[in-house]
Amino acid sequence: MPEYISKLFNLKGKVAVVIGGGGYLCSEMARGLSKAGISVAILDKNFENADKVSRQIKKGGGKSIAIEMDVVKKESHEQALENILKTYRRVDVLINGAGINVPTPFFDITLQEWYAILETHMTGTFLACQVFGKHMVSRKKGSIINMSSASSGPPLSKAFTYSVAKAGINNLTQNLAREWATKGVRVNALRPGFFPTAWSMKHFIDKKREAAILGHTPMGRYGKPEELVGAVLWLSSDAASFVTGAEICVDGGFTGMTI
Amino acid sequence: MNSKTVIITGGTKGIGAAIAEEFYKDDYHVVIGARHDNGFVSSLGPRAKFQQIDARKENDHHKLVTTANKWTGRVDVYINCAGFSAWNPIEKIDNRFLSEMLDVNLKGTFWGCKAAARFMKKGGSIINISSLAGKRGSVNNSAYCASKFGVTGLTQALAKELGNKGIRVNAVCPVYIETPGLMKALKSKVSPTKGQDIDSYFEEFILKQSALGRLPLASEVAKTCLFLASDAASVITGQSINVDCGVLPQ
Repeated sequence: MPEYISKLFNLKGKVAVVIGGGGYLCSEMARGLSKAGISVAILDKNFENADKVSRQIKKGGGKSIAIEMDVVKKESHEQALENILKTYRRVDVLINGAGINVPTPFFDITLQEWYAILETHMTGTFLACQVFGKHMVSRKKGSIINMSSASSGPPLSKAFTYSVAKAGINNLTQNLAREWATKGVRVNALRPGFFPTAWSMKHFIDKKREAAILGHTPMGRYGKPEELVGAVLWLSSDAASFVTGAEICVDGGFTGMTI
Repeated sequence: MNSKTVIITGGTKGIGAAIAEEFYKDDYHVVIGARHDNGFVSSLGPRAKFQQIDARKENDHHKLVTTANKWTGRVDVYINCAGFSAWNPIEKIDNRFLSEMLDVNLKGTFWGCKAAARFMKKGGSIINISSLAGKRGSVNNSAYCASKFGVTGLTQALAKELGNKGIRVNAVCPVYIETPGLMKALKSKVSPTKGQDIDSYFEEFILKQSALGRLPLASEVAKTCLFLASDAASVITGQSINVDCGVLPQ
């Protein structure tokens, strides 16, 4: 049975790039990928966080490198790709998980904040797909996972710019999936439900909001970061060979319910 | 126009495309000759031009020079990159296989050098993309090695011959560069992979032979070419420089 699973998924020896890999959810995905035998490049604006995750992976017997990068600069993506190719010779999986969020009331959103949130999510994903996607298309194989959100549509209150960005990412995901479908590169979006960090609990989620969230989540609870790993491994693998342009919900049923 | 100009044969994919990108980034006007236009040249930008050529034909190389002359009036660098790898045991090598190999890899380079030498001014630089296979032989590689050793001889002879015109001639010898062309050749059962998994073969090769613990990127071969074309290499000629992570230290 185990041999059947490993042949079906065929993940061993692959190379994954996790942009935003120093963060709460992405670091868990990175650790999950490495446990499946995948070498993981952790890219993050905060090198310390990236390095911490990379060291954890290596301590556990996995292969990993940490690279500091700025997702809004194309040269940063190009430099990162070159460094990754020098170490691992190729990229099989890309996860676009970088991006910021701020609960600013709509009339208070400055142009600077609007651009900053759109840039880190949408432009960061766009540039990564250009740079890493080009490499994958040239090899005629690859799997890209863009981070959508339960807020990508219909949007959640309090997250105006963030929701616009996630809707944009979904759209780009579908377009690139169509574009590269016959070129061996699959592009999908992961739509996590609620996996709040300590920061979210403090800045976004008060008692009233928590009741609204959990009341609208059939499973009646928040998700645990490790519950995203299965979907990530599946989308990265040959077991998802016919899956592209899809938005995969991992949200305890949130998206599927009304009342 | 006073724009430095490079001609690259085989410049639409693989190592040639990486060289084209690097020279384009360095503000060169780039003329690329190849059998097919795959859209790569137009993706570079307005300072890149494609011309259909067959590198085996002497006249096609002269045509590349004419194109450059009409465009910028200059040919500063001529890079002979058109070529391919194919392994074959001696008993299977027929005249057709050998001719194809020598016609592109060796004679194509000859004609490129001839066309460049005719037009280049003082300071010009000819760069021939050779291989570690031009320095040492290996199993089932007799035809390819013969072609690349030929390139080494050609490079040295022309360096002596064209030196008084101020034209430098050098070769670059990469070890395995992961291009689609090489990957295709390594699928063969008579290639060093013996038809087995290419990644495992590379990992073992790196472990046993690469001083730096990895293989070079095409962009790193390109950077060596950029160096050889530059003033920083003004007294380097007749050399075959290994770009090989220390696989063959000679």
